[in-house]
Amino acid sequence: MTNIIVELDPKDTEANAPAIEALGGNATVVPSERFDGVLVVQVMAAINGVTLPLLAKLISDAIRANRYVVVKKKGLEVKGLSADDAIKVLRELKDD
Amino acid sequence: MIEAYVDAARRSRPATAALQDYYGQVYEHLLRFLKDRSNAPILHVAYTIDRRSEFLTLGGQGYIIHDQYLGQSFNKLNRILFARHGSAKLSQSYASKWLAERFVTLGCLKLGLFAGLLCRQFEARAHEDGDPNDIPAETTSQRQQITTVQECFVMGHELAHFMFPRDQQNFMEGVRARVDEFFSFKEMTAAVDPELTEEASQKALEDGAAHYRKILASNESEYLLELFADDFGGMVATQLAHYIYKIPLSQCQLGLILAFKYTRLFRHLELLARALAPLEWPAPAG
Repeated sequence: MTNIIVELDPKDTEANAPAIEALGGNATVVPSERFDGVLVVQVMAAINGVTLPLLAKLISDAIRANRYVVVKKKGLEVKGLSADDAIKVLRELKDD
Repeated sequence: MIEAYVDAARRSRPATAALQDYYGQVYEHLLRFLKDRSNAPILHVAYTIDRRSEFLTLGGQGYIIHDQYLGQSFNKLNRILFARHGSAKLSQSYASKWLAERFVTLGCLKLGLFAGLLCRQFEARAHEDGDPNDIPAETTSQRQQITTVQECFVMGHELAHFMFPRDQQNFMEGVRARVDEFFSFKEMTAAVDPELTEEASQKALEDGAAHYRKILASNESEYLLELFADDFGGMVATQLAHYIYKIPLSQCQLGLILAFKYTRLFRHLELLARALAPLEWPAPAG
């Protein structure tokens, strides 16, 4: 099963925390420090019936509040994400 | 789990087996710089289009992802530096290749194709007067030495990310002492700019020192961490390259300076890719 990565800004940790906590053991939070000096928090999770609505909430909440959020699958950034169609895009990623 | 992470986060392929062994040995040498090796991060060698090394914590365990493609990219840029001719065209070709690969991961296939074609065009132009990489064996060996220093630096830099939070205060004292030592070095005044008067070059030095002291006093941990990581990475890369791999100190310095320049180049290209990508993205609905 392929995982997706939801990349977030560590500055928004507090704001994103409730949606991440809701994912519980279904997601792994990966704080990472890259060679180019960028600090990010990444949430790694497989898309399934349980995680799909929770991930969609994490993503759409972040978009609505204008917080930094990037979704990646196999290293490709997912475009065309909006707060309203996050669920639809995630469903397509699941079946992809 | 680290494999699952790399697979999800990056476009990757398996790292070259022979290089995995080599990087493992380099990392073993680097770990000797740690006072306490328990809980040391595990090295994971990857080969990804991101050409980016990374320190991360996964399930309580630290990992250093060392990207083989980053070393390969440094080596390619070093090749351009030592090219017999056509280095301007080769640089343009490389920049186009970098952009082509980045456009793909940004989901911009048309821009990626365009940049890929530009890359081929510049490369062909550089070869019009013969093979630019047809250089003496001695120069090839210099290039390999420089790449070795740069790869040690990258790994040392990532290891510093693991070390820093464990003894931040002491590490920063060390960096402060080296900055002070550097700027009080008498010969530095002459080295600033031979055209300047002694008074003016002294002022230039003091301005430089003031800039670094301001950063050091800022207590912005992100900034300090990067400063320490570059300092530590440079130090261990020099020690390792000079004493273990017998690379002359002048080559070590050249390798480090170039590594900083290449990293900056990648950042500029990233900005360029991000500025151009929206040209191909679908317009937001409504």
